[in-house]
Amino acid sequence: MRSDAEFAEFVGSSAPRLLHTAYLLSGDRHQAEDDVQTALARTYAAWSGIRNRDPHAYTRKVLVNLVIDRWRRPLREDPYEQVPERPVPEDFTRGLDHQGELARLLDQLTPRERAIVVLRHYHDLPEAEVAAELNISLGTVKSTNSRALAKLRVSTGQPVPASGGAR
Amino acid sequence: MNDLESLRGALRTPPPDGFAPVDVQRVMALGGRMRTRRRALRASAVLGVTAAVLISVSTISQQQSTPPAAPVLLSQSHPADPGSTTVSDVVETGLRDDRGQVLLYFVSGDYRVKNSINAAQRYSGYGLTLAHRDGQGRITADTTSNASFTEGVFDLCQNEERGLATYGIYTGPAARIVAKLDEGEVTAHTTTWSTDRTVVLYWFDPDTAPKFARSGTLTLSALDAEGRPLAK
Repeated sequence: MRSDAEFAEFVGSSAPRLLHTAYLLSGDRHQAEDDVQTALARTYAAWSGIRNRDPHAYTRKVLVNLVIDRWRRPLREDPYEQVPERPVPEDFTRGLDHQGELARLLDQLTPRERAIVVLRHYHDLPEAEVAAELNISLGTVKSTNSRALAKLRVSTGQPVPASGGAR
Repeated sequence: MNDLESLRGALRTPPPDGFAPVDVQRVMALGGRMRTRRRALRASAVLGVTAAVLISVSTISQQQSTPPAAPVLLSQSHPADPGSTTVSDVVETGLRDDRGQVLLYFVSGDYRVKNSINAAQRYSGYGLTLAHRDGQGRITADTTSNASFTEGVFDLCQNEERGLATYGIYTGPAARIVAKLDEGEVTAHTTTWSTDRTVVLYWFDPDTAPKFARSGTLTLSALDAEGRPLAK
C-alpha cells in the first residue's frame, strides 16, 4: 500500500532523531526504544490524517507527552528506612564529555523541565512552538527553561536567541 | 563557547552504543490495532448514544403510562467518571468479597484516577476499571488506572484495599501469565479483551498478595501455549 510505503520511509528518516530525543527525555536506552515504538504506532494509527502535514512534529509531540504522562501515572510507593542520597549540583561544564554525566544532570530536572530543555536546546524549537507542543503558556516555557538551566548550572553567557533555527 | 553552547553540543552528541533499529512491521501492526480500537470506540459511542436516547424515550413513555416502579437495577456497567464511556464486555473475575463480585472492564474518554496518591489527576484515553457488583446487580466502579497497550509489556495495577490485589493487562499472544516468586510460581487468571483479542487481562487471587509482598519484587512472565516465554 502506498501510504504504508510512505510511513516506512518516514520511520527510516525520523527514527534516529526520535530515538535520541526519547533517550534524552528518559535517560534509558530500552525505555527510549519502547517509547519511540509506541509513538510511531500512534502516528501510524493517525497516518491518513497527518501524512500531508508535519508527521515528524506530530510524532515528537506524542513522544514527549507519552514520557511526561508516564511520570504522572500513579506510583506504587515502597517505604525504605534510609533516605536516599540526593545528587549534589555541580558546575555544568565539568564532565560533559561523558553521556552518563549528561544523563545524571538531566535527572535533576522534573519531566516538564527536561522536556523543555530537550525541545528548546536539542530541537532548537522557538519558545512559542515549545509552548504549543506541550500545551502550556509561553511564560511557563520561559520561566521553566530558566529554572532548568539554573539547576544545570548553565550560564548563557549571551542572550538566548528568541527563536530557534531549523528543526 | 559558553555553557549554553556546551549544553547544546552535549545534547546533540549521540549515545555511544546506538539504538536497536525500529521494527516497522511491528509498529504498523501495533498502530493498526490502535486504529481498530478507535473505530470500535467510535462505533460503541454511537451505539451508546442511540441506546441512551431509546432508553430515555422508553422511560418517559413508561412514566406517563404507569405509576412509579421500584428502582431500576443497572444491568450494564457504568464508568468511574461521567466523562468516560465503558468499552466492550465486563469481565467477571470469579472473585467475591463482602462488597460482591469483583469485575474488570475498560473505559475510554476523560476520567479521573481514584487513588490516594494522585486523586485529582485526570486522564484521557483508555482506562482499566476495577468494580464491584452487589447482590442486587448494581455495579460500582472503585478505581480506574490508565491503560497502556505497548506490545510485549505488562501494565500492572496493584490495589490492596479494593478486593483485587494485583491485576493488569498484557498486549501479546500470551496463553498463560505467571508471577515468579522465591517460593515458586503463581499463575494468573486470564481472559482476552472483547474489543481486541490480542490484549490479555490478568488478575491474581487476593491470597497471593502476601507472597508478592514477601518477594519484594514482582516478576511477571508471559508464556505461549507450550509454556515458552514470549520474546519481547
